[in-house]
Amino acid sequence: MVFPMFYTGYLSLHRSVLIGGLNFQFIGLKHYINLFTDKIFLTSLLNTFYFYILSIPLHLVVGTALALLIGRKFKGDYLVRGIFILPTVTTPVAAALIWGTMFNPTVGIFNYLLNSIGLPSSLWVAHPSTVIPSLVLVDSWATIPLTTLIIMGGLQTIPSELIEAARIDGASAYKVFKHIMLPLLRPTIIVAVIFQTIQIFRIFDPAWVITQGGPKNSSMTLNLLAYREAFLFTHIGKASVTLIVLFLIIIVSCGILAKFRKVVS
Amino acid sequence: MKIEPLKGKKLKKFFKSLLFWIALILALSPFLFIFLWMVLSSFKNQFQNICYPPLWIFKPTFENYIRVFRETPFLKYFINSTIISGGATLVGLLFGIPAAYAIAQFRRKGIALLILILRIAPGIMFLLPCFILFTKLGLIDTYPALVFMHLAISLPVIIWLTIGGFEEIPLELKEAAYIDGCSNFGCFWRLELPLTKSFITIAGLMSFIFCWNYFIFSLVLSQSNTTPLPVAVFNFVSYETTEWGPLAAASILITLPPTILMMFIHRGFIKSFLTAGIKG
Repeated sequence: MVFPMFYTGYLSLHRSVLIGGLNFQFIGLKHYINLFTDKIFLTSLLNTFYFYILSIPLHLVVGTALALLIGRKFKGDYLVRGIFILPTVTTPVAAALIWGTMFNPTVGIFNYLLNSIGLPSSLWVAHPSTVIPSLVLVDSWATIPLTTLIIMGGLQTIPSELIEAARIDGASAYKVFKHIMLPLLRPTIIVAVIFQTIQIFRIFDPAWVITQGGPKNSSMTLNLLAYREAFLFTHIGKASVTLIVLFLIIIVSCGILAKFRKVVS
Repeated sequence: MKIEPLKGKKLKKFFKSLLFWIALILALSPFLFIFLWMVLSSFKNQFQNICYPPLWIFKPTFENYIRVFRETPFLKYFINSTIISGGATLVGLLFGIPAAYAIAQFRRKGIALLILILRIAPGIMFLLPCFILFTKLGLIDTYPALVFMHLAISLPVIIWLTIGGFEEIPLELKEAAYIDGCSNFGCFWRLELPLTKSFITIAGLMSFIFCWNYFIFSLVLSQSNTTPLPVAVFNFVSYETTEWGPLAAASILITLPPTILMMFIHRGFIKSFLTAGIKG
């Protein structure tokens, strides 16, 4: 399994030639130098980070809130959790197709719901400015349950005596959360963020199924770009470079987060 | 007279739990709404699906499900998906269990970390070299190529989950087995494998679900012979005039196996992620 990665590195130094089958011509670092002036690459790079910046705060807030709610002990807790994590195992392509129909600007259910509470219609995935937030919603639907589960695991390690003692001393529920639970939860929350970091940087299925990077490349990410270059245009060298950049971004972000986790715990 | 405060307390408790359930239902409804809409759409005809405002109450039709089976070789796609996911899981178990055992037994944290890093890499990074290799070998659109490719999904899942199982076996138990004259392999076969059975089952089923849902590998490597379900339904949208009813019906049929399997293993699945955050 290590071999493919080195081979990708090797490919990134070559240009694919389609004469007499698939052949490769050595061109050195040319692909890497071209990146800096490649407009689609730079757009994809920015979009990849835009996905990240939208997704992580949403996960933190909703994931933690849901963990506090579902993490309680109640009758049928495991059943409720079991139903709650179903989006995670739903086939992403199938889910994305349904989301696609729901996003429909003229007859889609989402615009109907917006209108029925008095909000104006949105173009959702059909407009460059709303396409990425919409796709983040699709991704979050499938991945927030995992974040919630991980944070819930952290909640269960907090001794209940600690919280009870604070409540008896007159601390409000909010204060208990802010001063006792949150500091203890921090390492677990960072693990959840690492999981989501890996996931959102590599987002493919919903984006490819619903928009294929459009409209006008406005939702193109590095992963989508690599796929398009490699398998639709046979620009294998360029795709390899894009993949290496993406891989480095993921590794470095995870490394920083892991370091940060050590600092806070 | 003493009953009065107790009654108030009980009432308060009742309202508190009522409030909790309302909050719970409100919080979960966005997640379940997608499923509800999927099911509703699959029972509507084309006209009902695109009428505005959307219909909530209508006369359900099974026409969409019948059409999925009649107009597409759905069963063939289903079998393809099963062969690919099942094959990758079985081969993954065959190689993954010994690997996990070795990592847990000899405390090779470095190898475990390497597998984790490989898990982080974008899938296309593995796909690209394999695609070139398979093209040269003429293996595109064959089951062995697809099974091999999906090992990139099944192996890490299986190894990571079974390492946890092997590490949970108390050391004293193993020492006792060695003292009783058990060989390294005997200890693995007679003692550790049976003890980790539940971990292995969950790992296998999770690997099956992940392979079933994985899209990119099959999108590139399969053509008409080996098309699995996600690719089939994706092509269905690209090349035909999209009708939402059959689309929703097909989506439900595709996602049924993973969700049913999930209902069996959700306890184990939840537990494995609950501990994920603590172990790090």
